[in-house]
Formats: sequence, C-alpha cells, structure tokens
Amino acid sequence: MPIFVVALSWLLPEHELWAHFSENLLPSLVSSTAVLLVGVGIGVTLLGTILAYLVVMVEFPGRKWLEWALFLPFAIPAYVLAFVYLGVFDYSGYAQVWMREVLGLPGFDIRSGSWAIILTFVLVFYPYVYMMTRASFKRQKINMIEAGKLLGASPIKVFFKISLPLARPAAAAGLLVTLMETLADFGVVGLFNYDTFTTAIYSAWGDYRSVEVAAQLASLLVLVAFFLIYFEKKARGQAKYYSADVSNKKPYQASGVVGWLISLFVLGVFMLSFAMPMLQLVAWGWESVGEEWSAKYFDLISSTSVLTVSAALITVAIATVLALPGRCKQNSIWLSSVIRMATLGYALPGSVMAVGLLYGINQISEINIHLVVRVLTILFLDRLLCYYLLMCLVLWQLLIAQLMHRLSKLSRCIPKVRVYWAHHDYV
Amino acid sequence: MNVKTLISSAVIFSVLTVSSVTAVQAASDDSVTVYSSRKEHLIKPLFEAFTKDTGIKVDYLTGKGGALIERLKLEGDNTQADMFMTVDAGNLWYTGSQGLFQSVQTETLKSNIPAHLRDPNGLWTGLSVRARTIVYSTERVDPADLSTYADLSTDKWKGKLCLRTSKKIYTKSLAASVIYNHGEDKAGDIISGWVDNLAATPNAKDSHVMNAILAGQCDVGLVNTYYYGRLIAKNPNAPLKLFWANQDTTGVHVNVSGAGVTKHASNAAGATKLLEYLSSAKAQAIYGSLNKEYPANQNVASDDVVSAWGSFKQDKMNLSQAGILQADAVKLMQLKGYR
Repeated sequence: MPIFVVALSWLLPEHELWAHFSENLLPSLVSSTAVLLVGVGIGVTLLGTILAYLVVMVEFPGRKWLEWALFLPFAIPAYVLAFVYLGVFDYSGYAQVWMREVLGLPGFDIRSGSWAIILTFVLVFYPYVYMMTRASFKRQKINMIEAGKLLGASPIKVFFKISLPLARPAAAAGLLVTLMETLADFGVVGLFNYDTFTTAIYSAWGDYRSVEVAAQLASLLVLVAFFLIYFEKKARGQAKYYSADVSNKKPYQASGVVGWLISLFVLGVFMLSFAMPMLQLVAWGWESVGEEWSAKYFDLISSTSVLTVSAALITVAIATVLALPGRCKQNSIWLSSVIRMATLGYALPGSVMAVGLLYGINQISEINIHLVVRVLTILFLDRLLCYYLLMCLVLWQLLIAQLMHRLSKLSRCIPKVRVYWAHHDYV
Repeated sequence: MNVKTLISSAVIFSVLTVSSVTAVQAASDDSVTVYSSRKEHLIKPLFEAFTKDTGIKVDYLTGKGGALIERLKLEGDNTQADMFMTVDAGNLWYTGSQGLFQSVQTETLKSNIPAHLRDPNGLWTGLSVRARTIVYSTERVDPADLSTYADLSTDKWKGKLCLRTSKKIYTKSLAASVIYNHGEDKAGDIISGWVDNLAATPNAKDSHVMNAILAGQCDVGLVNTYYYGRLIAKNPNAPLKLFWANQDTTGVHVNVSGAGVTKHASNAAGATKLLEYLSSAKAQAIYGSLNKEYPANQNVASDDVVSAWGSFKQDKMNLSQAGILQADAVKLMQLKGYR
C-alpha cells in the first residue's frame, strides 16, 4: 500500500516546491547518496567477505571465538555507533585531542567529506555480508579447494578463482540488505549532518508540510530499491551454488607471524566495531546512571522486550509463509512478484512508510478511529518487521535450498530402488 | 505447522501486540488529559502541584511532537486530549494552523504572559522561555568584539564559527526571526556569511557546538541557554560564557515551550484552568527550576543559576511569526547551503 499511494502522488503535482527540490537540492543529494552507497557497498563487501573467508578457511590464533564475536555488532544500532564514534573521533573527542596534543598532528573535522560516515556504515553493516558469505564458504566443498591447492594455486588465487565466485550470490544478498539499510538511514546521516535522499523526504514532509512532494521523492527512492533488487538478482544469475558437505577441517593453517597478523586484523575489526563502542557506552552510562536511573527504565525495558519478541515471532511467521512458495517449481509469476513486493517494504525509510500509510488512510477516511490509532502504532513496528522479514527471507531461502537439495538427492535414489525390486520380481 | 496455522498465529500475535501497546487509560469525567511532547520529568511536578491545589486529576501521554500532532488530527472529535503541550513556537503555530486548538483568551493569561509569547488569536500560550544566543570562548574571544547575530556573518569570524544543523527546529525559528527583522534579502546575506565563516560542518546538537569551542575547533557559536546551563553544572570551570546578542537592536531571539486547549476537548474548562495555573507565579517558579529556562511570566524571578547569567532584552517579535516564516526560513537556508 505505501508504494501504491506514493506512486499515486504524481497525480497531485506541487510545481513550485518540486522546482525548488529538483533545481536546488536534488543534484547534490543524488551525488552524495551515490557516493555513500558506492563507498559503503565496496567497503562491506570487502570487509565482510574477507573476514568470512578468514574464519572459515584459515586456522589462526583465536579464530574460534572471533568467528562468533564478529556477529556482535548486530546488537548495536547504527546511530548509537555513530554517536560513539563522533564522541571519540570528532575534533573534541579524546582520540583527536590525544593526536593533537601528544602527536602534534593537526585536527580535522571528521564530519566533512564522506570517508568517516562511509567507514561508520561499513563497521555497522559488514555483519550482513559476513553472515551470508560465511554460511556460503562453510558449504563450499573442501575438495574443490584441495584440488586448487594440488594444482599449485596460491591461497589468494584459490580465493579469487574458486571461493569468491562460489560466494558471490551470498555476498550480493548481504550487500543488498546493507545498501537498503544505508538508503533508509536517518540517524547516522543526521548525526554526521550528511544529506541524502532521506533528508529531502523529511524536509518536504516536515518543513514544507507537503505529503505530496515527500511521496514523489519517496517514489524515486523506491525506484532505486527496485534497481538494487534487480542488480542482486542479476548478480546471483541462474547460479544456485550449494553443497551439503560441511567439514570443519580448515584448508589453510596460518602459523607464526602470518597467523598473528590475521588475528590482529580480525581482532581490530571486532574492537573497533563492538568492544570499544560498548566500553564507551558503559563508561558514559556509569557517569549518568546516578542522575538518570529511575523506575521508568524498567517500564521501558519491559515494553522494548514485548515489542522485540512479538515482532520477531510475527516476522518469522510471515517470512516463512513468504519463503515457502519460493521453493515450489510451479511458481506463478503473480505469486513471486507479490513476494518480491512484500520485501520491498524494507527499502522504504520509516518516513515513506508513514507517508504512504497515513496519506492512504486519510483518503479512505471514516475508518473506525481506534483502528487508525492502531495502525499508527503498527508504524512503529513496521520498520522492525521489514528488517527481519528480509533477513529471514534470505536465510530461509538458503536453508530450504539446502533441504530441497538433500531431498532431491534422496528422491533420485528412490526410482532406482523400485527398478531394482521390479527387476527381481520378474526373475 | 501448515500455512493456515502460521497465518492465523501471525494475526493473533499482531492483534495482541498492538492492543497491548495502544491501551490508553480511560479518563474520568472531571480529569484533564494532556498530550505532551515535553518529557515526563519536566511536566509531572507541575501536574502534581495542580492536582494538589485544585483536586483535578491530570492524565498525560508523552511522545514525539510530530507524531502527537498527527494523532490529534486523526482522532478528530474522538480525541481524549483536552490540552496539547509542546516545545517551539513553530510547532505550536502549526498545531493551531491545522485547527487543532481552540481560542482561549482569559484575563489571567493576558496579565500573566506577555503578548509576544502568546498566539494573537489565543490558540496557544507560551509557558517557558528559552533564549538562543551567542556562546564564546573566554580564552580566545574579547566580548567587546561581539554584538549581533548578523555580525557573526562578517569576515572577522571567518573559520571561527560553529552552528547547529539547520534541520533542528531552534535553528529554523532563529532564521525565521532573522528574516522578520532584516527582510529576506539581507537575511540571505547573513546566512551566507554564517556558512562562509563555519569552522566545521554544522553540529547535530548544541552540546556538540560547545564541545567544539572548548576543544578549540571554533571560538563562537549559537546555543539555547539551558544547554549552556547543563554544561556549566557538570563542568563549572569551562572557559565558556554567554553573550546577549542584539541588545542595542532587536533583542535576543527567544522561543517558548507552550500549550493550548484542543479544539475537541471534552473538558475545555478544566484544561483552561490548568493553562491558567501553569501561567501562575507558583507554577512558573517550578518551570524555571526544572530545566534552567526562563519563566514566561515576567513577574516571576528566574532560578538563581539562570539569573547569574545576567538579564537581557528579548526580541519582541510575536512568536507566531516563527511558524508563519518557517518554510521560508528553511528554503533560504537550503539555498545558501546551510546544512
């Protein structure tokens, strides 16, 4: 419904305001959004894939716990991480103060330009690519890699010629989610004061009170989302690489200096993306717990838990329903496009979702008011819902693909058995 | 589990969740229900004092300003809200322009609150005043060099100015006052000058502006005074001071937090009583002490800490202008590249 309403908004043009947006704001917004997407895309793909490859294929000191620790940044919302990074690394942050006072380096504004915000997004969202490619590397046949090794290929060559092509669909799926998250983000770009498309949507709605222009801008964003999904499908191509042979044996053993260097790199990513921000948050929390803590936080914690658990349950349920038909051979085009549309909600910023739903409801009007209030409440759930929906969908598809693969192997055996028995009957 | 069971359990879960979240307690007949975007700890003591003095109970619901306004619109005449309370004159004006407030013009309100802090049609009333003025480094700036908001756009402040982002409401209202006082052309020059003088990308928060000055990234900035109050409470020796801008001209730009009686209030009389109470000397003193703001009622003295910053002349622009000119202000800032 939000997409439909948002598309309809083109029937209600507001020329003057649209002219202001398209002439004065859009050119720079489009380029800054593109820079952000490209930078974050390259960053998460590199970091996520390399980390996943290292923990799956190489044995190095500390590998076992780091493999799981690398998932932990999922627990920190993007804007919280951005807040911590600004507090530590911006001009007045102690990292920069130390650099200026102890090392004598010149100070700088980390919010100007785009490298710092790109780096922040990469450190927040790399787990998406890491999670997907790790699962993919785990399913790769170890004997393919052994064969590569026997033929004299260097580890790097094996990575580029065998492992990476096999993990490509998984990396593309992780990348898709990352880019949509980046596109829909409002918290991180707000803290860095970095203008993206989302900024313009909020401005049209909040400053100019024009739901129409907000919806028109939103529809452009939806187009980008369509493009991204198309791109992901292309990247995946017809390839469905999976294998049920899971082995825990690592093809490569990194010992000595190389092993420790790898440990240091992986540990560094973990420290920067999770341990340091967590410690900083605890430190800040400790400073203000005395003045801030009150019984109301118990209420907040309990309502957060209720929301999280129920949203998770609903999401898993819906995602399962949506993912199941995806595995059926006789999939109608209608059904599969409905399923694709359902996941598109993910690409909508909360604002677009709200614009679409609210505007739509206003038009339908005369609905029981309590129902409307409930719908409003759902809005708060909505983003959460879409977020899990897409992740679950991708994961379920992969899991079910595995399962189907095993089943089909099994079913291929069954006719042979029958033939065998039939043969014997005649004897 | 088949598909049907899955769908039905999903539906049941969503209904359960949604109804548990939206359970708004039913209000009794003689109580007043307030929707507020001011935080609970800032309003609760005021409501408790009101209930103690009048016996009228106050139910309240806090949330984000924009969401509460949308909620009021959607609820229409079914709303439980008798009063809506929010910060920033632009927000109050917008609520009024959407027909969500009713006119309340009692003698008590007129004598307690100065005219420029009230809507000309009585739709809303300012209850606490926040001043947005210049903050400077006592180590690097001679206060004799400071004068007006417009002066910060001149070359002598090149690379020395820090500002909060144009996306925050206080910046928008300040820009609206610059347009009101100087006209659109001159206001455009002033904003351009500010942007040219910036030492860093505009900050997300006033506290970040002050941290940047303390760290030496810039020398002067514009902040709401209560943020300065919070910083000084934590760090009394910080080399930062407030300077009252425009004292020889139009006065310091002020903004308000305020409230109005909703159009469809079922207890308009009770809500009016609450509004009058909030403008009274007793409640105004509480206001001042809670958030280091200035009382809107001119007969009430400021909190001690706040008084120590000195008295100042307020800009007398009627604050409904902050709402009327808000879209122009935003457009001007966007044109001049003020992020």
